[in-house]
Amino acid sequence: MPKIFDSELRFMQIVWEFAPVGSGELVKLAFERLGWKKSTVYTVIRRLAERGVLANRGGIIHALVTREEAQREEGVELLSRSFGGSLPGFVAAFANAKAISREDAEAIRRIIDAYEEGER
Amino acid sequence: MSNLFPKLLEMSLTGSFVILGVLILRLAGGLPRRYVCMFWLFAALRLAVPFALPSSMSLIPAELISAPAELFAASAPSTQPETAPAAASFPLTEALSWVWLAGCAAVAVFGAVSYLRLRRRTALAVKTGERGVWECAECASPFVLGFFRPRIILPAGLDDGRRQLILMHERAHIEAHDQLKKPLAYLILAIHWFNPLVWAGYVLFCRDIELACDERVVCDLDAAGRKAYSHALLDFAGQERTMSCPLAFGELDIRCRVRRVLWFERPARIITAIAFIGAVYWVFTTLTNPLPPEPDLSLANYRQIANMAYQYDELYAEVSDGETWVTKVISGPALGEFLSSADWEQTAAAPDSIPALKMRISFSGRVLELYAIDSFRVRTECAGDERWYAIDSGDYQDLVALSAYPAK
Repeated sequence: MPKIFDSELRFMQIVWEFAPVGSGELVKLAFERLGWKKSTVYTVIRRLAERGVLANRGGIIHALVTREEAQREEGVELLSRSFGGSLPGFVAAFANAKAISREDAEAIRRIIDAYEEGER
Repeated sequence: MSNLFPKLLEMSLTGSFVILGVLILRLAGGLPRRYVCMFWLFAALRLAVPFALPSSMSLIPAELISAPAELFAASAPSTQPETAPAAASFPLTEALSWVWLAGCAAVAVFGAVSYLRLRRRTALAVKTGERGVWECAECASPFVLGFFRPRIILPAGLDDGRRQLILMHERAHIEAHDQLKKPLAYLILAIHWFNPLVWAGYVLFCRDIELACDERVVCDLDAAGRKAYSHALLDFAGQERTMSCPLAFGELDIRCRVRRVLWFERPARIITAIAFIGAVYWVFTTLTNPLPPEPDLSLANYRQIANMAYQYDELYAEVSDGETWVTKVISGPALGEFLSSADWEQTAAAPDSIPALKMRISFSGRVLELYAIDSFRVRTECAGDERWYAIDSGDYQDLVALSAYPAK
């Protein structure tokens, strides 16, 4: 059972809905629904074809794995969830805090829950 | 390149001075971080702009300006190629330039590469119903990407409540143009990579930006909203570590942040007024340079002696060749020319120097004496006031050569 990464799943949903579908049409659909550029779509098509998830036969895309088969597969793999601590320091990020221990997290959770309006 | 280094060092030193001020300012915890960011801007201006208007109100110590210039003037190649000390340190300045450039490039390239890798990772982000908001399955933490058309990147699978709060925070970032401020600050860091205070400043600036965004969001939230926001902060803590968070800033980071969120209050108008006045004061005292030292108007100043010398066609100089004294003729204008273009440093008087006297010119109440002790010195005198100057061997030779013609 070939892997389908999380980020590719949304794309495959379009393929499953419309397959067999011309690559040009697929590009348009991917742009409308996902906002992907043409080059991105072709790259993903190539990668999925290499893995045997779909096939590109003369410009027509066919799904080689059905939606049901993919859904049966447990724990869809992620390309890489965390950045391994290398989110660039100049990107404006949310909650870029140091890693904290479970105890510290618990302690802070208690502080939050105990907060009442107007308290100091 | 010879002008670059003194200027760079000067910017770094004066910038450090301002950074220290901001560090002290930050100790006032009640001050909204949004205001503190304004002061970071002042520090950035000092670090990035190579000039400043002089003002008597300046609090910048004059040494921060003069020391770099002197340091590099001492090692600059002198006009006389035979001067051994200058020749030895010139390669040092060159070596320093390359080291600086290398460090600069390393920091810049690291940043550029990290940014490009991040962009690649978000290549498969999908658009959401909202403009400028994208979802990325590979991203565990929300952030803003892009400079001029910033996009908000969210992780996949956020529940509605959380999503709204996070979007408020990221939108606050965009409103404050943080996606431009942070890279610019990073560039300044690249230029001043050798200065540890600038690193500290950058890290704290990044934190203050986040806290300022928290403030912006929390302003409009009620208690329940603040709790939800704090929980969201907690959820995303421990997921990411940015380059800007060294261990030194400790576990108190998220706790401190949650505290600020829960207990944040709009600043009283008096605080805002004080902050505004403080900022204006800050601009006038730290974004200006100290006034240059007063020019020496005494008649004994060598430049004044020069002005006088121009008025004489011929002057007489007593020159010693070690045993006897000979009277020679010096052209007045030539002496005036030489003195006008000299750049001598005034020093304290040299005691017991009489035996080392090599040349003496005296006219119209002015006296100019040339000494060769362990170094070359010039003494000038007029109307009871005297000055001593240190000169280098090149100037010494020139001065002696001026009196080439023996008197008839």
